Amino acid sequence: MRDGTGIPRLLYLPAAVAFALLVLPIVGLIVRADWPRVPAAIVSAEALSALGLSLQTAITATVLCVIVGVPLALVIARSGPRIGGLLRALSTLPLVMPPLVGGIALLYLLGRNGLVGGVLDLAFGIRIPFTTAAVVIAQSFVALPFLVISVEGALRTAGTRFETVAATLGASRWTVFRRITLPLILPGVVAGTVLCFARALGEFGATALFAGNAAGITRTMPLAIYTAFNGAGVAQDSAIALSLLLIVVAVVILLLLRSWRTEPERRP
Amino acid sequence: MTLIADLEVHRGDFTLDARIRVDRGETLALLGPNGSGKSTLLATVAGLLTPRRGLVNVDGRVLTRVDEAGPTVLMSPHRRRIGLLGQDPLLFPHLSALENVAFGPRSSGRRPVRGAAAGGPRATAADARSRALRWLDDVGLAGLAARKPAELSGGQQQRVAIARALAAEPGVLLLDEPMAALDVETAALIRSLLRERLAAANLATVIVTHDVVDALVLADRVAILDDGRILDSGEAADVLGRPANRFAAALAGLNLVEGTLEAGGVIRLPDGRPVRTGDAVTPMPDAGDRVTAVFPPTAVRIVASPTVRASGTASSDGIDAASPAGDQAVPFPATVARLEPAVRGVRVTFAGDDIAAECSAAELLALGVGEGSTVSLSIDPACVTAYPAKSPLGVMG
Repeated sequence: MRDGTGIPRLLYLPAAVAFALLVLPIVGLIVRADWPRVPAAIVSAEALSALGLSLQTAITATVLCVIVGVPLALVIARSGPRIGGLLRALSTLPLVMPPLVGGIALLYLLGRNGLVGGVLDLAFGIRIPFTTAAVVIAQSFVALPFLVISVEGALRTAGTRFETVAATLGASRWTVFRRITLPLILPGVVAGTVLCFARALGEFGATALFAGNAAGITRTMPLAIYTAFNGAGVAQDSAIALSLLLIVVAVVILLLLRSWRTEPERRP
Repeated sequence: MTLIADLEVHRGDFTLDARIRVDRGETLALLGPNGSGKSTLLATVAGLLTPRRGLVNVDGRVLTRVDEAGPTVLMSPHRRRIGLLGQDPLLFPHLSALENVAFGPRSSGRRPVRGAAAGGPRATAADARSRALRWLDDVGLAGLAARKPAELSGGQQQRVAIARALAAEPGVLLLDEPMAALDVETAALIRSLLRERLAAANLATVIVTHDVVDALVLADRVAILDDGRILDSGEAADVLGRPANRFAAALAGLNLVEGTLEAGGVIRLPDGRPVRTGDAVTPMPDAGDRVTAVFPPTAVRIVASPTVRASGTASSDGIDAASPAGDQAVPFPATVARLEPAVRGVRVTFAGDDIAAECSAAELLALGVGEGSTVSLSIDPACVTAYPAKSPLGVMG
């Protein structure tokens, strides 16, 4: 590049360090894997059960996040600077909070002696902690801020000018939302959904505390990996195999979403 | 459709207090400098701003009413049937030109008026598209119906925006400097297209502009808005040909001075300078009434050195001496303040800042005139129009 906008050479060094930090651990994992044993490890009943549960809960959590997160982002983006700022700060709190703390907080809200959980237990006999539903709630709790931030940014970029025009053309608020606002922020929604899903798929801390580690009910891939890794030497190999599987699943889903996102733009 | 808006809007320190009335088939041009409240007026009529006090009424249908007398009415923008077209076409980027135009018919809960009658209150997709295609054809873009806005030029985008605004079949159309973002040639094309389309649509139109050409081409009536108030309104020929104040005169490209009428068609300015008019002053002012005189900058001739000695003291020498012919200019001295580029040559302004002259650069060079030079000015009486000063308020009927 000789267009005068080159990067100072000195900055290549920290950039290389950053890249190495991100990529080398995965390389390490691949190198360290006991490849002949990998197929057996990933088709084991335990692994498949954990994978199935992970996909099921992460997809459910992501769908829930989209359904409630897009409207929340809309409210934040269209509120005044004060209320919007306050809502944004509170909504993104889980982002800066250790997931373990989130797990404890959820337990104290929805546990048998919790604020809401106590009422649910007494009135309906519903107990949330240590169920698959608890996994979905924990994943939604940690993943929702990613979606909200991404969609809210898209809404701010899109602005309200197109919406105003649509209104003067006779479109009701609902029609404007459906036919103008949503299509305009679609890239932001897709990006947010990807982040949200990735976060839900990898969720460990809040799930471990709030949902526990029951095989087939709450033991998702991260918990299965943790359990395997804490076992004897042989089990550590299956932890590595499961980790690789989780990485592959995440990458495949990212690629699928990417192709889905770019497809409509290619249409003439 | 008759639009009546009588509004008082406050935004920070700024107050808009204006009343307009536009009938069906009529176009009102609202002329004013930046910050005069033009866009605020339009936004309030469209329902995007809430007035502190006022009324917006289309054919007796109350769209906005804020007063002490009754409950506040603020109809939401999408129910008003008021179209808005700004300088930015704002075509929906994810929709094709055709889909943009079809958006109004498709979205509004109104029975279509134009074209094939649809069964329901809302046009079907196919019906909306076929009507949209006709609107696109009307603006000469039927061939580009499938294009996305990003694949259209600025002028083409504005044409689509015009078709889109009209396809929603508004009763009132508000145009907010629709040609301001276009180059001169494209602006002229869009202007004639608008004139043609507005005549066909037969709606009440308000166009906000600071370009006098928009008013000349598009408007039946002109109103001058300055600092939130309407200073003058009426036929373009009257408002711009006989401007009420210096702002309106500047829009029309005229110098405006005020004084009292003396014998021999001389208007004596307060500081004693004389301006002679060749025509009779109509209607004849009462003795001592203030008279407005307007003349184009090209009618002001610059003469090198003062030929009249200190006529600012205004003894009657200039007038009486010049009276034999009766149609000759009465020169007076002036000091050059600034030279600015003009369309044809150089625009010269003088100390006191009420008169500007335009001449060629060659003439100025020949005279050896620069900033600070003392010169003599003579104004061609044949180019001076004089009339009794208009009262600044209460012109609006």
